[in-house]
Amino acid sequence: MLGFLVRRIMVMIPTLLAISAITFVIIQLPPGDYLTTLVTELESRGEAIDQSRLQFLRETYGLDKPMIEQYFVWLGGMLTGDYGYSFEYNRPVADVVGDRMLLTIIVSFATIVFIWVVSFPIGIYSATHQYSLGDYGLTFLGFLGLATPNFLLALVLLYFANVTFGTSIGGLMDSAYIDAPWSMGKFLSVLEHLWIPVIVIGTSGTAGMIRRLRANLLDELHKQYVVTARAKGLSPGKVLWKYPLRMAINPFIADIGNLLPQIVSGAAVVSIVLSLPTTGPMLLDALRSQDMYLAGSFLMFLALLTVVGVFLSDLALAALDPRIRLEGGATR
Amino acid sequence: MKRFRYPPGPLYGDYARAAAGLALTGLPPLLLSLSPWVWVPMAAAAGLFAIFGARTAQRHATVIEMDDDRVTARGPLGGSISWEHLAHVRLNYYSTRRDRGLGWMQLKLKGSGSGETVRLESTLDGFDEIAERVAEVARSKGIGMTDTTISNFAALGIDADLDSTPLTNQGENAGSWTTRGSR
Repeated sequence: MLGFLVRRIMVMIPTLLAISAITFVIIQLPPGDYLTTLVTELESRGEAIDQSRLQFLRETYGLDKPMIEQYFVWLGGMLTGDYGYSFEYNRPVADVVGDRMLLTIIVSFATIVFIWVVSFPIGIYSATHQYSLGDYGLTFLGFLGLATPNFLLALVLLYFANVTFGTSIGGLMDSAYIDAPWSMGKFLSVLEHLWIPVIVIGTSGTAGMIRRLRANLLDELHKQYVVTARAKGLSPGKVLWKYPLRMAINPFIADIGNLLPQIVSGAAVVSIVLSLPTTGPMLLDALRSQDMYLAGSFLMFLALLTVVGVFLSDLALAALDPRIRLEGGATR
Repeated sequence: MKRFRYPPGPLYGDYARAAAGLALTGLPPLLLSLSPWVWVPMAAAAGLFAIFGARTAQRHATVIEMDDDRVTARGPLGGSISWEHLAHVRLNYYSTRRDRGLGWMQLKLKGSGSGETVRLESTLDGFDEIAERVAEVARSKGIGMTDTTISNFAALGIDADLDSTPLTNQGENAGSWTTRGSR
């Protein structure tokens, strides 16, 4: 396992470096930079900006330097905790992001837990009770979850929470706690508001997971070794837990890598509808206004989540089922 | 008695991996004032690469001996198991590729006594021969093995399943696998 871990990390390092380079090139691709966008905006309002001041700003932010030099400065800064300067907010990126990253992580983590806790038992039940009333009912709910647009569900739940529980509309906490230091009251307020985005973001993911687990488990349950195990007199529970379920959750675990960035980036639209103080809406704004260091930091964060997620799922798969797959196209 | 060693090619590859990994993850925490969020994972990864380098050196100095009575790893942190005491067999396959190709196998043998553990990797010369002997002993002693271990043995063309018929229906791929390294 140590050899696997080391080789896997050796794959991660160049991957992250390549992603950082691609990210930097992408945020530099649109013509001009933040200052040219600013000048255009001012000119459209009939205002002018002093050329010497423009040059001063260009030098201050390092925008006059070659792209490769800007990249290495940015990369070095990322390692030392200096994520650059947000032109839009006139503050360091770390200050601008502030609590948003923490709140994004809380929402994402709670959503992943929700997806797993809901979909795992339902998927097993649906597979072991195929074509039963419960299976049909849960399958119907699953399709409903897949088909319902997130923003619509967000609006419905917002209304429902406000009318039924008196929860304030939008946001992740009561307005009194915004910009306030963390306290038990603020934490409880976050918990009170958290369930709406978690259900909204998690519903489609849950439905997908249920379908996949059901299909995988059904495949395994129809295999010869399960019939043999039953014929040998093993209890249905033991037959299920011992092998088929372990095999069926492999694709489930392999999906962790995609789940993390999907939840963070996919939550952007929901965050806008629900006015959540997470990173999604800020990333959209940063990309629109060419706030390159802010956008670059977010994109790197998403890439890091993907790479770490895939790494964790690969580790879990290697620990769970270190098997050679002759039919998998390997040159065994 | 038969003696086997790890061939130098794969060992030098592992030394290079350990050195490159140590340089990439160990130097930045030493030379730069990194943020704690970066320092901790980098230092942890550097520690892993250091352990990996030490383990490669340990393998370099190890000689595996096999005879009718036992299998012995002679060298630093070596071990020995008599076939009579063999109690636990696990054969794992690892690959970092998406298509799960160019991987390697790891055979872990545990005896009934304390400290009786031997770990072997498929890059070892004569790995197939040792694996065949292990499967033979495991079958004769009725040692239970996981489904994963049995199918990995099958990939080597070795039938380790206590309940199976002889290995004539394992598919055309059985026994034709290759690893990175000497295979």
